[in-house]
Amino acid sequence: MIIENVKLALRSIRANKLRSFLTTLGIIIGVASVITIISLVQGIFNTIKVQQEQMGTNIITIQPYRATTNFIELLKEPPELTMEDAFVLKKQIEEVENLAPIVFSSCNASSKKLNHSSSLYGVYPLYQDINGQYVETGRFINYLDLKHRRKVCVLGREVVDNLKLGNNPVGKYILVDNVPVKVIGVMEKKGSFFGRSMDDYVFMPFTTVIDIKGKDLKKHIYIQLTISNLTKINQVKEQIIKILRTRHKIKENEDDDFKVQTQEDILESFEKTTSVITLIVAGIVGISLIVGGIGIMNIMLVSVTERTKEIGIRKAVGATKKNILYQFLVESVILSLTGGVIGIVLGFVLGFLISKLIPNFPGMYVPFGGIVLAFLFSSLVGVIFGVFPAYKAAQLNPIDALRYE
Amino acid sequence: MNDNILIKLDKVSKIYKMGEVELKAVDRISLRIKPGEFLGIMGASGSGKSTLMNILGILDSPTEGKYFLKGRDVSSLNDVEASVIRNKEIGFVFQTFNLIKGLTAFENVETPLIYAGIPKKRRREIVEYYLEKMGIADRMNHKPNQLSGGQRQRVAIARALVNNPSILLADEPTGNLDSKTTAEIMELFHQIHQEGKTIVLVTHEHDIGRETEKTIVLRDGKIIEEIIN
Repeated sequence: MIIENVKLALRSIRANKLRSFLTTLGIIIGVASVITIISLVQGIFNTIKVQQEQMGTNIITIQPYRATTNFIELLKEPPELTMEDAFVLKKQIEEVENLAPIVFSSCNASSKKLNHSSSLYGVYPLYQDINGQYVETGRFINYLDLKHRRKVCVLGREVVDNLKLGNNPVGKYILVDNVPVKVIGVMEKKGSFFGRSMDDYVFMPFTTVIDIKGKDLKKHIYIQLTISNLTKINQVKEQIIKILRTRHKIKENEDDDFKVQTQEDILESFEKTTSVITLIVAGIVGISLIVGGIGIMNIMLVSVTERTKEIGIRKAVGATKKNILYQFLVESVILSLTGGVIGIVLGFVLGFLISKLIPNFPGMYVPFGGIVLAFLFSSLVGVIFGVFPAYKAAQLNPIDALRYE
Repeated sequence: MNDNILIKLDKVSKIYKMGEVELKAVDRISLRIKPGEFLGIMGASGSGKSTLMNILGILDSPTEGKYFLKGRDVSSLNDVEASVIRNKEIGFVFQTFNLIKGLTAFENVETPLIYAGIPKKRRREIVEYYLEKMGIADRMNHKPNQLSGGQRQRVAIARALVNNPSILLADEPTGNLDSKTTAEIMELFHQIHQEGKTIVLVTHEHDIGRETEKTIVLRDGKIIEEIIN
């Protein structure tokens, strides 16, 4: 019986090709848009995740941070982390493996007549181990550089290329904010992300950067640390918060003036963002599927009216109400499911094309669950919006239906 | 119950209420049909013959009275029971053929067998047998609009017969046909009758009415005359 119903439904859909297509268009657009957007959002998220994971999961970053909820907060001195904070943490927390402060700024690098704006990081030698990012040619900054506040730098590939320093720039001098600095090494290439190069930076000794840029930079000091035992990461986080609150003399009812983030926290916040986007998209798509469903219901009602006589004939030769109900229900489910399948394919193609159109886009990814969900949801739409017309058909009185012209 | 009675109507009435007015479309009709009988029902339009036909075919149920089919009370059945009887015991032939327009001749004839739950292979055999018998086996892949009136009625008769029903109900089967085709179709009915099938044929044409074994004449929902031909 089911096979017969499917055959009947396909025949009726084929008999009204254009109408069926227009009917399913709502579903097609809804499903295609959800698959497209999910494929892109998930693609971005996956790339971020991979990058975070490359950095190692045992990193904790502490940065000055104040939740500004009102004007008074804004008027206060901006919070900062000090070198003493870093030393105390290193000394008091047993699990700390490597700990180093880092300072962020920007600079203008130049060589001969070439100028290039770049990020300036004041780092400790441990930076390499903490971030899992190593020097390719030359050497990294060492403790002597730090101690003597040497004017040396390690460059990202992008800066090397922009300043046309050639294949081996080690030993050459460049100007960083008009201060002559010797290039001692070049870092491994990381590539680009969203069209933004991740190799556009200048590393210099922490102390040298503070010297060049002045005391103002202090509020840009972060502390990075790795721990030896990953299972204790939350404990360590608690300890850090406790120590820093005491050191910063924060009262019981006040918020922290710093933020402690593990790699997991960062991933989590990304995950939160993606899931919010996904939810919003799902909402929009839900609405468009309802609109699509109404379209299907409308056309199924037309179909029932058009085929009143057929329904009468079928009842006269022995069809039960259930037979008729299923016949029309199967038809609406096939309509919406076809729309769903076309939508999934179209969404894939669109997601692929868009990811190719955006330069350096990380590539799309559609989770299997998304496809299953789109599939289930579109068949559900077929059932929900098909029930009423099908029920109407099943309830027709055979005598009236036979008389219908 | 007498075993030799196929259909027994016992003071069957069908009353339509239109506000205050009651319309008795069928008024206390009692009737017995024996297996193998060829009964004609005649009457002017509005005489109640179509309503009687609908009651006989379980498309409608009587307001009053009892209807026994093969000794079973079928006066008030639920949807599934009524559908099964329509499917297995009754074959309908209509004036306007009532073929499903999107389906081929083969598929139209196959429809009652699908509802009867007959497997596909067996369905094909049965359908081909009846189409052959009606002389339209060569047209089985044609849609109704590719067939002549006579051919359509042959398809409809084949459809009425596929489940080997106890009774064939024909409502003005030649009403839309020319005289030559009418003769051919009537010949078919005689042939089917000869093979032992019970037939009830509704008509308003006296020539056709005279071809049956017995004819009852209706007026205002009552039997006013019984003619043995």
